[in-house]
Amino acid sequence: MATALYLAKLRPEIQIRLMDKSGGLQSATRLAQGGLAAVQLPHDSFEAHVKDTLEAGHYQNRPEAVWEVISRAPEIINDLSNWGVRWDRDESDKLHLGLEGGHSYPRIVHQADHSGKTIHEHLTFELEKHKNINPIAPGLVRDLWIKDSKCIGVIVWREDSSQEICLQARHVILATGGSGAIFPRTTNPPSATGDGLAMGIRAGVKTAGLHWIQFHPTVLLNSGDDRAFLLTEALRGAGAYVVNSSGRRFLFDSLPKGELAPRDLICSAIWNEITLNPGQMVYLDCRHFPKGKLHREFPQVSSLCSQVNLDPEKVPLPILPAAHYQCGGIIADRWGKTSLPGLFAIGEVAHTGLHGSNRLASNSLTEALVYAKNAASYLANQSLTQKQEVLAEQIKQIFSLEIPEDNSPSYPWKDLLFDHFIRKTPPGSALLRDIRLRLQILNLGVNRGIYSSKTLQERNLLQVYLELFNSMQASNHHDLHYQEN
Amino acid sequence: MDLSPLQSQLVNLKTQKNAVILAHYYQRPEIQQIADHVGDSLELSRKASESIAEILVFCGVHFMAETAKILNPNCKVLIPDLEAGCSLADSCAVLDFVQMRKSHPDHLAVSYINCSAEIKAHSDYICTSSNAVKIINSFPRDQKIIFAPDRNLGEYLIRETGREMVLWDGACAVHEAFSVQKLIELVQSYPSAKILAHPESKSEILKIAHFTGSTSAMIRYITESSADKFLIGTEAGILHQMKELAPEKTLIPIPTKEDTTCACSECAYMKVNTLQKVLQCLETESPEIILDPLVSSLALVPIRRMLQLS
Repeated sequence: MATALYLAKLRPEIQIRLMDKSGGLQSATRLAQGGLAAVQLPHDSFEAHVKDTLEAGHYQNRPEAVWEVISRAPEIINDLSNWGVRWDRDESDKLHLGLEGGHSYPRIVHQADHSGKTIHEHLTFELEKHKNINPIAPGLVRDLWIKDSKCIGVIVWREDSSQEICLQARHVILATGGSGAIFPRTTNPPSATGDGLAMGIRAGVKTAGLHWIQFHPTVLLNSGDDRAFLLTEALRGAGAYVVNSSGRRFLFDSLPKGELAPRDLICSAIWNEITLNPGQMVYLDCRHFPKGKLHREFPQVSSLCSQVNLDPEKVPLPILPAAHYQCGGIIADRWGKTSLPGLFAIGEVAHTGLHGSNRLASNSLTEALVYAKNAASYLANQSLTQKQEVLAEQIKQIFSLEIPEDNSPSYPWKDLLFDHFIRKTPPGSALLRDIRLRLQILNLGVNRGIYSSKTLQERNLLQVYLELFNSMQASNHHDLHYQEN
Repeated sequence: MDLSPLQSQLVNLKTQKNAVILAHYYQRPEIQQIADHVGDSLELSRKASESIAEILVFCGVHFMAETAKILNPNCKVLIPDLEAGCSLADSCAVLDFVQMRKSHPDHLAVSYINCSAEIKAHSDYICTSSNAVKIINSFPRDQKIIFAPDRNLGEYLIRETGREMVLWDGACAVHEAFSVQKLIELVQSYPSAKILAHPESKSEILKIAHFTGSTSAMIRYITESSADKFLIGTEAGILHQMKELAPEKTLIPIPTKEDTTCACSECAYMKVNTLQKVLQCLETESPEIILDPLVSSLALVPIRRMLQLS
């Protein structure tokens, strides 16, 4: 959306078409609670923010990308203000800056604890003002349209008419977010099925760091709902205990820092506790907090708990780790360009090198906006007079597969994913064979024109899963997620 | 025909539940007696696709019940025993088959109906022993073909059609077991008998057979033939149907290497089903054949092509 806005401002005559399978309703941006990390001089420094980002990323980051994003973050805050986003300010009208884990100074520009939602709403509102930006069209992009090793558009599945339509475009920008839905629990919206990443992989686009999945250790266990509710890490900072069913603070068995150990190590310890002791549960215990502290300092946690009828002052909160952020992705350069001519990638789907192997909190929205702006200025400088062969719009009728809800494929392998990515146990060959078999059937369905939105997304999930696994095997085991061994 | 108490009970329950029982020729005679339709896999496929019953009880092996489900996905398809497999269908692993297709990208894949739903989904055409020749002859002469999973049937088809084919190396354990030695001894005892073989049989047997054809083709051959003695190279269960249709003829089963005492070839999987199991499965409506909707839709394509051509 931001790329479209930036580009529309620079070149109002260019026609921009937005595609979103959820019709613009689902977005990880909307769920962002923190805000945007942006250095405010003179108290803070770019060097300090760079250092924090590199440390969090275990020095797997690309320094050029880190400097690019961090030095331009204040400019992005300004752009958002111009689009009407209002930030929390103190009495003297200065930006109120939040402090988050891993940051050495308060530098999180935010609006309460729903910054992402505000930004998403303002961008959506701005989009409607531009005549050259077509409203978000219904339909799921099935694949990139490739001709002569160039991306010349997209192939769209329209479920309402059971048609597959080839749409031509001079440039295609992927802004499809992450792939949290491959995991049994994720903080991502259910639409995060890795569609953009999967279609990029199928088109042979270069990727990096796919196995750098960031997990969140303390997500409220909410049975029946795949989407996980975060219990902010600040709770552990404020003294909450991680305990097992018998009330023991087991983290100290393996981690001298206990609850204050790095989040990836806490994830491993929690996962071990649960999987090695059948029936064991893990809780976040806040019962020893002074009365009223939770309600005062963590209003979001309080209201969330009351929604699911849990009183954190009386009972420990059941928790589990959940997939949170995909640090790797499709390799994109400074302008968002990928290895495939005509294709760009922006946001979580892209790997710019900013995050390294582990993202620093509140760096991702900034990253998406910086590269959206870069891509827009690159595209604005492209000549449109260049001759381009116009291909006829191709429409193919598809046998729309009707899959009853109760007959949806089950994923026995989903739970194993936590083992692969948190504990680093490689999947068995039988599991990989089953996944390959299923992927072959799904691909066959696409080739023969027998599919549905459900099977297309399942195909993307499995494609991403296999690539994540390949990436994990190919990695040199030095990254953060391998510390356990 | 007098029915046993168990048989009567089954017939009543069948009517009550609006169920149809399909039985393969190779099923036990007491099951064939109470079945609504008895036939080979092609005939039963047709019956399954035409059926408007709510429940189909398929007395045969697993792949046949799967085929019925593919052809009639809204119908509840039951199989008396999930263990009723098929050594031939089991011999074809999907990943290897897909690999084989990948290494022969310009070949059409024709698969014998004795294969899993997944293999069917990955095939271009399905055939049975009674229509394989017809289907292959419908292709242009220079069309390259992969044939799976039965090597013996494939070799027979190469001879019959003069086509070049890439063959999957699979075999039916029962047909494989025919002993040429025993056959020669048998031929010496019955010098005037006609030798009938199923196309899946080993090529040594096919070479000396007077007639090679599907189960139903063999029955037709026997009833129309002027000969009165026949050596039958197929399952023993088929003799029941043949004897009923041709009571005046002498039918002698060709023995297998393993089991010389009963002197007949029995498919162990086919005999897994019993009247008791049929009754129990109809009562509990399980085990049921459940297929993934995508696999089922994909597998329907090559089966439809077969039904249109035969």
